[in-house]
Amino acid sequence: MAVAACTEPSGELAVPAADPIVFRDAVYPILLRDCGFPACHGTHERFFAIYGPGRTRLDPMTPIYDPPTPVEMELTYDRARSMLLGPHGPEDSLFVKKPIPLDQGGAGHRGDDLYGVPVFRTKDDQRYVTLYRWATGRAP
Amino acid sequence: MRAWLIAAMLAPAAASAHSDRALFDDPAIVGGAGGRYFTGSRLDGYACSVCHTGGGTTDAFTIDPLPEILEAGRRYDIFVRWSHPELQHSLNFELTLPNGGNPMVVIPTGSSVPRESRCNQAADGLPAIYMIEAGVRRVVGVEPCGASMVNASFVATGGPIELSIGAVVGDKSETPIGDATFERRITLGVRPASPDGGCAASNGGFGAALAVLALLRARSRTAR
Repeated sequence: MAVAACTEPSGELAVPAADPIVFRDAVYPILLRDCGFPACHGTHERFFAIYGPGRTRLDPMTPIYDPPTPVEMELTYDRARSMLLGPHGPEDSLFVKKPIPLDQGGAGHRGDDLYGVPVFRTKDDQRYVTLYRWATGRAP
Repeated sequence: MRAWLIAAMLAPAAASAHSDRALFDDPAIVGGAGGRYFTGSRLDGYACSVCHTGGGTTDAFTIDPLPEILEAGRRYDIFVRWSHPELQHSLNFELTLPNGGNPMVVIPTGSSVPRESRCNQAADGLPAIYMIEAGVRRVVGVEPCGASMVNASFVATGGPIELSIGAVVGDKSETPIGDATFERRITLGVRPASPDGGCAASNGGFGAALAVLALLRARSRTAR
C-alpha cells in the first residue's frame, strides 16, 4: 500500500504495519470509547473513521450491538495505521499528536471537549500511553 | 469486495442511543460507553451532542433556581423539569467537587419517588430516576418513559460545586440522528457555614442584641 504524502510529493511512503493483534485487543477499544462518536470519527465523512458496536456500523444492516465485523476491524485498522505517517516517523504522526493538548506537543484538534481538551489531558493518560506504544513501540 | 465497501460507506449510518443505563458502564468493545456518562462534566469531557446530532438544541429542560451562593454544610435540592413528557427525554447530571468527588448526592427511593419522576407519571409507575455510582462520581439519570421531573439532594461542601447536565429529546427514530440535545454547566459557590450552625434568624437576633448592648455602652460613656 502506498500513500502520497504532502511533504514528499515525489516519493512513496510505506504505511507502518503496526501490530494488528495489539490494535484489536488494546487500541481499537480505546478508539471506540474516546473517538468513535458519530459527531467525531464515527462517521463515513472522516478519513480517520472508526466503526464498531454501539457506534456507527459500516454496514447499516449490522445489528448495532453485534461484535465488530472483520471488515470493520480491518478498515478501522487501515485508517488508523495510515494516520501513523509522520515526517520523521510515527512519533510525529497525527495519530499521536492530535489527541493531546498543544502545550504537550499536540497538533490541534477540532474535537476538543467542553473544557478545551483534545482527548487526553496529559501524555501520561494510560489510554494515550497504550495508543502511543502501539504506534511507536515505546512509551511517550 | 471493494464495491461493497464503497456502497456501504455511502449508505446511511446507524448508531446507538445510550438510553439504557447499563450501556454507560459497559465496555466500548461491546457497544457501551466504557464509563462515560455524557454529562459534560470535566470528568466526562463530552456531552450528548457527540452522538445525538442533527436535531439542534432544545430548551425543553428547566432547572429550579438555586441560591447563587450555598452555605457549607446545608443540604439542598435540585429539580430539573421538562415539558411534553410524552416525548423521549433522557437525562444525566452530576455534581462535581473540585477534587472530582460528589457532594453526597442522593435521590428519592421507594415510596418517596414523586409521581412526576415515575414512568408515565403514574402513582404506581416504576421510578424513572436512577443513580449510577462510578468511583467517586454519582450520576443521576432518568429513563425515557414518560416522567417529567428529576430531583436529587446534595450537601454544599468542599468549595465550588459544578452542576453538569446532558440531556436528549429523542425523535423516536431509534437512532441518534435527529435528536435534540440540552447541555448546561452551572457553578455553585459555597460560603463557610455561619458560626452558630447556620440559623439565620437566631444569628440575626443575636447580632442585633450585641449591637444594642454596644450602643447602650457607648451612650453610657458619652453621658459620663
